[in-house]
Amino acid sequence: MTPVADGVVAEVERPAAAAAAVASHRTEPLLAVEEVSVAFGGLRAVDRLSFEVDPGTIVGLIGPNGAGKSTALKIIGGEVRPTSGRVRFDGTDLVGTAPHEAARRGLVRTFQLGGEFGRLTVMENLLVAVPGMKGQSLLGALAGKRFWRASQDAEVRRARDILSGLQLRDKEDAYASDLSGGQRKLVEIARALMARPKMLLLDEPMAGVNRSLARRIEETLSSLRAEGIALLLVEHELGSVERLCERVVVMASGSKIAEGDMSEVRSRDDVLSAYLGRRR
Amino acid sequence: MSYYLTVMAMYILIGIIAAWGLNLQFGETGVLNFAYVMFIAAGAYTTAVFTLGHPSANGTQQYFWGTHLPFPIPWIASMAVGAVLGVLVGLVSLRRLRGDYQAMVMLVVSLIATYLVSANTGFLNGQTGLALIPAPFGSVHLSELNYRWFFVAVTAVVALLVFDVMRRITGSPLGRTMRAVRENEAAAVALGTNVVKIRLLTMAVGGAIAALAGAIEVQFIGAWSPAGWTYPETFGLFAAVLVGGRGNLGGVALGAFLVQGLFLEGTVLLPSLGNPDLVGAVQWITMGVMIMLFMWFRPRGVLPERRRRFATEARSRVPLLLVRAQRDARG
Repeated sequence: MTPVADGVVAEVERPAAAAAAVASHRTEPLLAVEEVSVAFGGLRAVDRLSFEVDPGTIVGLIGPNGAGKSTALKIIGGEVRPTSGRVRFDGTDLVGTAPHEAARRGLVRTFQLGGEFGRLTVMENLLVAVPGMKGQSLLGALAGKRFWRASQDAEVRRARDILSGLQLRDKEDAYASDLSGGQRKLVEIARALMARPKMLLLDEPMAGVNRSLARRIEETLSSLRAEGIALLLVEHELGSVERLCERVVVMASGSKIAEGDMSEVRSRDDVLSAYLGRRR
Repeated sequence: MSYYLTVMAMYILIGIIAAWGLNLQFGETGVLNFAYVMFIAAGAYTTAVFTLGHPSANGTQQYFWGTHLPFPIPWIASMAVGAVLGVLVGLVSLRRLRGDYQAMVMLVVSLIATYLVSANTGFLNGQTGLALIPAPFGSVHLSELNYRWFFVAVTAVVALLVFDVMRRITGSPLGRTMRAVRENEAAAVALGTNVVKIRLLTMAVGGAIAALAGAIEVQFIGAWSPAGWTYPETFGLFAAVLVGGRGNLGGVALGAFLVQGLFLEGTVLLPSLGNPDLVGAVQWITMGVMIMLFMWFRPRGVLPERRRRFATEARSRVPLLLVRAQRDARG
């Protein structure tokens, strides 16, 4: 068994019943996207999108290229402000807050491409994500190492645990820009874990990743769910989506066209038509 | 010769201090502050009006306000002005704009400031500038040459203090966050970093350091005018950071020594050939070529930013035997 985050054990497939049990303790979803729309000029990139994500669950957001998935992720993460609708996270409306506020409240996103801090080492990449570490203010920095060293040492140990769980321990001194594409994706996930998130927004974590690394990412995501972390997964690799997600939301041309479990939505004509370009 | 050595030493030390401030903004945080020389000028003018005395006492010079306060109050006031100006310029240029556009706005701000000060004679004596600015340490009674070396020594101590401040900032979690902002703004935001706040902070601290450099310089040379802070001066400091190695305090000091000291000031010793402006023109042309060459062939400078490693458990301050004993006890 391999530790991934605080008290987390990897390679443990979380039973669906346990996921449901976690979700049943809450009266409202962790994330609620309510009638969200955004238009760029004349283009309506996202149109009245609504769905919910409960704690300890993995929801897939799928659809063909240009469906609006990444824009939806940017809206949820606070990077793009919607023209209408609400995004409620953990009981708070995120629309209108500063872009970094979502992460501070526990909603952390990863990037499809180039999300690493290239000329920072892997360890530094992880430490940047630690919220409220001593020495991050000007006065704290000027106070010197004696003020912040113990706090940093504790986070370094935690980062090493996470890196070990992802089999990246030997890469901690490597610059992130020197890693392979798959390793960079793992570093991003590890970095997001350092932020102690309640929920992760993952933008195509399997894209361009070899099969072995993709399997490792899948195991990691499963173990995060076991810890109670919610995940919203934008992914084109539908095999991974099917293995990981209890529920999927299908988008096409900015709108939600279907929602349900994978086996249910994949048989729908409108999904096949939009996703595979088939005529009805 | 000894007299000239003091001039060289001062320009090198002042260049190093100023380059460290720019390194915090550009080298660490990635802010392309093309208005940097304006902050040096702000410090110089502030110290000038804090030492010249009331304008009525200087009949030949016009300036909006003046007093005479002892060292180090004018230098501290200069740093405060530099910090406030840094925040103000940052609020204008850093909040809504990104990268290249920020740099363009800063360059424009620098040009506007030069023209404003030049055109308005009643503000800071216009194009003529301010002169007869008193030297500090009035109570020190030394020969002129010894006084100059004393001034060099004080400036060296100030440089060491600035180095310590820079070392503390860049080596801390705050410095790491600054470098993260430099490397990938969107990812830093996605992790909860208030990027605007970090950039404003770096503008304030870097602005204060630049103003301190200006304050020291103006009291050493005793005069300051718009001709001394035209925008190419900023690129001289950028050259120092790029040549030495952005993100490396030792490298930046080396770059400032080479560019600000030997290259810009050392060439004054060269015999003038024909046109008296030739040496100056060749200096700036060569500087431009040097920046391009380094950007192409050695973008990380002579001494690149060092890789930061973290001690492993066995290498940390815990004795190795103790670590082994704990491991054995755990079985």
